[in-house]
Amino acid sequence: MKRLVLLLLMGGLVLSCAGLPTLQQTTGPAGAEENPACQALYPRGKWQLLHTIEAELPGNRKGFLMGLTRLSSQERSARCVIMTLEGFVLFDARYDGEVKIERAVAPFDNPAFAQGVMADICLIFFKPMADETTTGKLADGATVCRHRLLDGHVIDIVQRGDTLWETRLYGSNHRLMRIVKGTRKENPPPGAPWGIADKIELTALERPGYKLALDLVEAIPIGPEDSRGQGVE
Amino acid sequence: MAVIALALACLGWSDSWQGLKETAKTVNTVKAEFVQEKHMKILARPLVSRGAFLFKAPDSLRWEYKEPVESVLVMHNGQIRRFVNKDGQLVEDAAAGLQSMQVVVQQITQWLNGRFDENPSFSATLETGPKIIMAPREKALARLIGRIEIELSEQPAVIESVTIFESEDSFTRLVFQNVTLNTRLDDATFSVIK
Repeated sequence: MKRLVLLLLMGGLVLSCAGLPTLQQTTGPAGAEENPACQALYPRGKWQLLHTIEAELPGNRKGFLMGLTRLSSQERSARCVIMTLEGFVLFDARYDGEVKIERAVAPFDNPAFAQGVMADICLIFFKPMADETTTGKLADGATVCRHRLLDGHVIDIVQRGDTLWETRLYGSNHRLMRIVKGTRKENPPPGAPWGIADKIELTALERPGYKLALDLVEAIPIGPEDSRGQGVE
Repeated sequence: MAVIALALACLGWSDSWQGLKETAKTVNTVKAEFVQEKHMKILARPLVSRGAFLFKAPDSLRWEYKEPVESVLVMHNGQIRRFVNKDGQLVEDAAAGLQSMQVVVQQITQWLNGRFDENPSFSATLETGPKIIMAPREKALARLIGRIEIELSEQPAVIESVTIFESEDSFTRLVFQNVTLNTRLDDATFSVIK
């Protein structure tokens, strides 16, 4: 058991020390936006998404919650409600550039928690507001769309086939902070919005660290027909 | 006992707190299906869940959701546990939200024992309908739960629906169906999860 813990700690150390990889065959900013690696990963328009959330917290604690996210890609705004599986609201906050807590029950009533939740939602669901975007390939051949943000952070979107992609957030010191893995079913039903993942796994690497596994329960387009969109952005 | 039953039949089982308590004493088990609707102003449409609800006096409870997400919450011998379907297997949950559920489940078992008016956190009013309105006594609790409305069935000892108002535009309504009383329920129903 001690060996396992040591291995896990070493693994975590390796991951948290992982730096920004060098891109090969880099394409400059011109044309990068048209690269498929830079598209198709984010829901376009207004959506109401319901997920089950399995949270893995420090101390080997695991818990299940429901997450309701209402978002608008154009406005880059979101409303997030975290509930028990029975529907009791534990946390309700909105984001439209600033975070506003509507309702929160302890231990979800910490403003830092609200900021963290909304930062994760933006990372998962919104296309990065990049100062510069380039594309290239990793050493293993995976296609990458690299977004350099104004604050020095870097977001890499790594395509691994048609059904799996990774979003990797690096700090301004180029240390890896978050990994988001999104997967889609091999054969989605007709009409399924393909900018929305069926499963999302988010790993926060900085201490204390946590892991969230989101399973999509339902995705409902909202608002007028022309504001929804079913495809890429 | 026969005299009490007759008196309740004349008065109506839900006309008084005493009537509710006396009727509850005749109930050993409750088995029901339920449909739950979560209403919130921000929702494009309500979240609908379905499941089964089982109770055995004095305080064993199984609250099982079958869709859209399969989960089982059980309380037995004072211990509350929840299991959730993860990739086809029921795994135990240790979420922080479980603490608040402990309070909710204890409240429900108190109702099923007919003790609606014995909660220090809520003041209870019995209204025609018949309906029980429970309002939080403390401001801190009122921020979380505005009020709870419990609609009673004409069938003695049966709750027809429970609506929990978090605010006027956010509420959860559970409607119970196919309620059967005093069927045999083994203790394992509340402790063995499969």
